[in-house]
Amino acid sequence: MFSVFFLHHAVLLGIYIILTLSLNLINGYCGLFSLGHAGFMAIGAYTSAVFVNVLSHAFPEILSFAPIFFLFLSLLAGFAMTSFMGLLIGLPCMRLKGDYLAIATLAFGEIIHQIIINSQTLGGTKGYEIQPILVVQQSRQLMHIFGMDIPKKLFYQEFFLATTIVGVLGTFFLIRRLMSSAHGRAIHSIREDERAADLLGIHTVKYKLLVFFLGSGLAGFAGALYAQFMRLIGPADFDLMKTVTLLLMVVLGGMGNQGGIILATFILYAIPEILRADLLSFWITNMGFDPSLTMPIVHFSRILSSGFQIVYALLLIILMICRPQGIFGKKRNL
Amino acid sequence: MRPTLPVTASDLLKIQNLSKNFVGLKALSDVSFEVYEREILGVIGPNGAGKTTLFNLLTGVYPVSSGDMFLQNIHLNGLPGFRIASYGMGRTFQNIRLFKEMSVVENILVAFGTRVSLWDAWFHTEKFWAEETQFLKEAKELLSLFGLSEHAFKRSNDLPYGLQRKLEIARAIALRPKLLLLDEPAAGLNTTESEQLLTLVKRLPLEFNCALIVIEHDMQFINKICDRIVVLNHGEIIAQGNPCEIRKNPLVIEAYLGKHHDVDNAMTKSDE
Repeated sequence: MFSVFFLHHAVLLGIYIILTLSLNLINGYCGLFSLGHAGFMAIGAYTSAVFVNVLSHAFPEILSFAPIFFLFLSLLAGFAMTSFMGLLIGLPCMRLKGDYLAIATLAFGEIIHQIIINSQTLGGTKGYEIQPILVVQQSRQLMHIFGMDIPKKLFYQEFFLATTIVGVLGTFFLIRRLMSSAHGRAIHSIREDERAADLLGIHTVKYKLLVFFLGSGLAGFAGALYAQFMRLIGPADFDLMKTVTLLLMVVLGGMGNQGGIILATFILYAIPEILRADLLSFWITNMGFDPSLTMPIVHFSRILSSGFQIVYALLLIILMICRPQGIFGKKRNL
Repeated sequence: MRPTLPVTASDLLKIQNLSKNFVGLKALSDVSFEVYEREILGVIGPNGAGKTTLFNLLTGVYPVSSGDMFLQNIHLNGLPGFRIASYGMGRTFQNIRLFKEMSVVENILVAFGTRVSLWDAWFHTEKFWAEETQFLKEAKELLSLFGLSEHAFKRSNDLPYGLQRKLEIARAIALRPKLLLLDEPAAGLNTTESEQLLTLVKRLPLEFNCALIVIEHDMQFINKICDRIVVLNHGEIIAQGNPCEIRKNPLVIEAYLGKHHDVDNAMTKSDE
């Protein structure tokens, strides 16, 4: 069994991958410069959180009867509400292009952020706690479902890891299948030249709305997953820096390149965590090499860890200068 | 309720009193003409005469200030561009507008559109595969006709200029238009490329059962392919007729040079 530390970060990495793949659909594949992804994530998170808390307060017995079902229902609620909001935001923004769309979506993200901060019901800056429906069930025998015996003990993090893996694979293949079809070609053509696409019979508004619907919905799903996993969410989890971080992962992975983006997300998520936890020096020390050889490296890695934010920022600057098209560049669908 | 106009059996496009104003500037003023099925109509005129504005009105890029446009029995005024395209109006552009990062064959496939739902696309149903197979077959035939087969999987931006022009026409033909608008298709081509394009364009009406409206400055190109010519100047029609009549028309000659010269010479000098 993996340690709790790695399982925890594996789940969070999976959530980040869903976020970056969904952002890539909007920004990378369709060429819509959206800066509101953190806002979409927040909507999904708080929808899912409120859904579970209201249910556990009003119908505690129903929740304990089928917790996994209601957990998935809360994820679906996060997806549905965020997709709906994505459409609401998308409709007036359809005429906007480039910088203007960026400003409009940035404003949307900030509005959501401010609503959360100033809402007493949603906990404001103190954060919003979610009722732990799965933990409650760890000591109880679960139901016999579809001919399978559900284990009596539910391993919390393994369950979320499995759900996240399914979410990542689902997102990857949903977008891949879409983009490898005629609908995907239409979306790609909008990015290339919207006017030319329009005059070739492509209903550009319909496709842009579709992309907003799916992209925001998947971000909402990721937000819901995050909320249920962390069980405590706050406005700091959904600020502008979150959107910027996601955008950096998409750009550095190569816009329109799902494989590259997954790898970039892994690298840009793992590096600050490795530096923050001083894992480099831990690994080197425990490799079993002669300490007189490894000590300078350990010392250097400790310096890096102490200033990991500066190191991370420098790394991003170097990458943007040396490789602006992304680590893997834009994928060519030839 | 949209007005309908009874059209004759051979009328494909009917334009009546079409005008377009841009804040104090009359780009088109009271323009009326018809285009018949499988006809090649040339539209010529000095720079700024309103030729591309006419195309932009026909394809829904600009809203009409006054007048009406009918494609067969369909009133085009106020319709969005994609809707007009779906009714059978295709066009190319003065400056090439290919999907540069997409391959040659993908540019063609975009124009075919799709009839399958998202569900079919996500689950790769039989309907999806049947459509993709059919589209690829038709794209292959079209590319072969336009001499682009060997470049099918190259990025369209990597093609030489002359082939890019051909690809843009092929993409517009892939829309299966009833009426195809070609905006300066020979611009930037050398003599050989221009001749090849001329041969290709002449075949389009019979091979694809469509009419053409061609904007061109190359009078030799226009004279060799067009059945009729409409001449615009300062947004107004100053002459309509066959190439022979247009060449000798004093108003046309005056529009190009303001002196008594042959139109062909006038065009050569204005190009210089």
